[in-house]
Amino acid sequence: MEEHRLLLRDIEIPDIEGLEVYTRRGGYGGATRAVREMDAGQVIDAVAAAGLRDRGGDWSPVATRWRQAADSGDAVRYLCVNAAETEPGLFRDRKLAERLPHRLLEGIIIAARALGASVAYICQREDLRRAWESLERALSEAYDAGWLGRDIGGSGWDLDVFLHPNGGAFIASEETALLAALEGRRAEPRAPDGSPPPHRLWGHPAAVHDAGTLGYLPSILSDGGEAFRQAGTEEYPGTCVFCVSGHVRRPGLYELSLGGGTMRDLVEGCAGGVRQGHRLKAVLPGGYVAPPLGPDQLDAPLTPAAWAVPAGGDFPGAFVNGGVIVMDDTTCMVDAAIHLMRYFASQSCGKCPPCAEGGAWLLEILQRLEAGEGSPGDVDLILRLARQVSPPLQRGASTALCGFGAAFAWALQGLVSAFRDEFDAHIESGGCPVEKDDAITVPESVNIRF
Amino acid sequence: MARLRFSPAARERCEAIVARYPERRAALLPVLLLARREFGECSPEVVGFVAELLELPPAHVTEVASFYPQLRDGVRARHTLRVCAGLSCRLGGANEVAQVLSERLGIGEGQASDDGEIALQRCECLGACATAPVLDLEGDIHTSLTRRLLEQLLERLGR
Repeated sequence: MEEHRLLLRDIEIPDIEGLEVYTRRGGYGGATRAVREMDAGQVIDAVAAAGLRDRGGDWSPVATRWRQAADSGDAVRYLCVNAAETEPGLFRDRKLAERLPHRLLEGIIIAARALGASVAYICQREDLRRAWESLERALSEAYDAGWLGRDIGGSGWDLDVFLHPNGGAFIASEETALLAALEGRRAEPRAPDGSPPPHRLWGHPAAVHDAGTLGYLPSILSDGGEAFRQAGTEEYPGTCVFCVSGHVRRPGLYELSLGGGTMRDLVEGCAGGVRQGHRLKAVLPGGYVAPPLGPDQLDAPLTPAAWAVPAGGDFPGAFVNGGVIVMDDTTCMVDAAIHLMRYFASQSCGKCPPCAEGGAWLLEILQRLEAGEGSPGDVDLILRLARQVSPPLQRGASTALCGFGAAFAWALQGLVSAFRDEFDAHIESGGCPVEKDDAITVPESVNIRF
Repeated sequence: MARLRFSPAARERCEAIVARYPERRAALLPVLLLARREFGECSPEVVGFVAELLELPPAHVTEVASFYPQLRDGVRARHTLRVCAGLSCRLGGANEVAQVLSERLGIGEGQASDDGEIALQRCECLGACATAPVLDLEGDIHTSLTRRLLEQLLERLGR
């Protein structure tokens, strides 16, 4: 299956992170149109016609959020960009920040223009120094070139863009937690208070987008919505950048047309399948947050439309964010579950007991199994506890405020259901029955190298 | 203890941070991170200093400071090796990386060497999963680690 690069176009061009090369390759053409030739409504219409949806996980139409903010009647609006993809298994936005920072900034200019915002914040991990410094340099270049600041392009419109650190809190990528973090509070998700969208920041309307979504805007504005629609389907146009890692021969970033192939095309075709001499055991199709796929489920189409989540499709799985982790027959599923739960238990914000207490409790049970100290009933206990946080693949059924708890509940129930025998065997044989591979394994090559 | 003060450069940086937001409180996390870099820790004194600087209730500053992982004062050393323990890195051999470092440095996870030079920590995803296993050394991410690369890294650290 051929790659179709829209977001990652030019990512391998030398010095593309600098303004000079980016501009020479046609960069800021979309921003020029949006700022000089169009008003906010026209930009919203153009993006709506292209059918751009948010790539952060919920796949909702981007233009809708801008319309909600515009309809609020409040003249002060904020754009917030989550560039810190804090979820394990994802590495697209980091690469974007490092290599294509001007593409991100141009996307921000276009989104802010549509939204009518004069201030935008990019939330980023300060500890990822290369990404942080690349954005800092690009911001400085964009200010010097007049792409940011006062009266951009003689339009009378001002825009300031600032970097905001996320303090290493993975939960700060949840939309309402991100807003709380920006306001100088603990990054805890907010309970819905019944007020209609949009979200609010300092009492004013705010749109939160992930960096990977806004990176499509420059080409939509410069090349037109039709060019964007040449990839993908009617309902889900464009591409998705898949982040493939784990036991494959060629891990890396693969930008594919939505609906143009299957998970098998991605894992066995693009990424070359599992290491020689091994068999595929499972694929986590949505980072840490979706139930796993078995070898017999790889024909699932790569478009959200086909999956139960988000689109109510026939395939019983969740198409989330393009994070794909591949595991071969040396992987112990209890050990994999421990890795997932160690992340969730340590990163829960602590606000809702089902997630905060449940996560820690589930981790403890899993560690007990792996150590050979499990008791009969432990596996059912895992399923029962996880189900109390959220039944699998049911959106809005979580007993915790945000999607963090549901994420591990879905993933864990999926792992246990698909590999029940292996979980039980940990109890029956008093330890791990899988011959695990702890050794360092370097793959043959990496697609779009870091 | 002498009263804490920002250096002129840090004071200037702090003012620039505060100017980015419509409310002083919003500058809290970036200013706490700045203070941590400036003073090397996020102690109760530092928290009190930042509360006064931003004119915020000390209780609120404490509440926020205790939330963010980057502000927690873990094990201290001149250099900290953070080994990614995400699933993709585990599949790529993070266990061997941790074992090699632990054996060569004679310290376990979450510990520092006796001379205070090197600490070993486990961390969550560093966003470089395709190049597993990876580790972070003060903001530099070392990717596609092998035993040979680990040896070179340790040599550079004088081990």
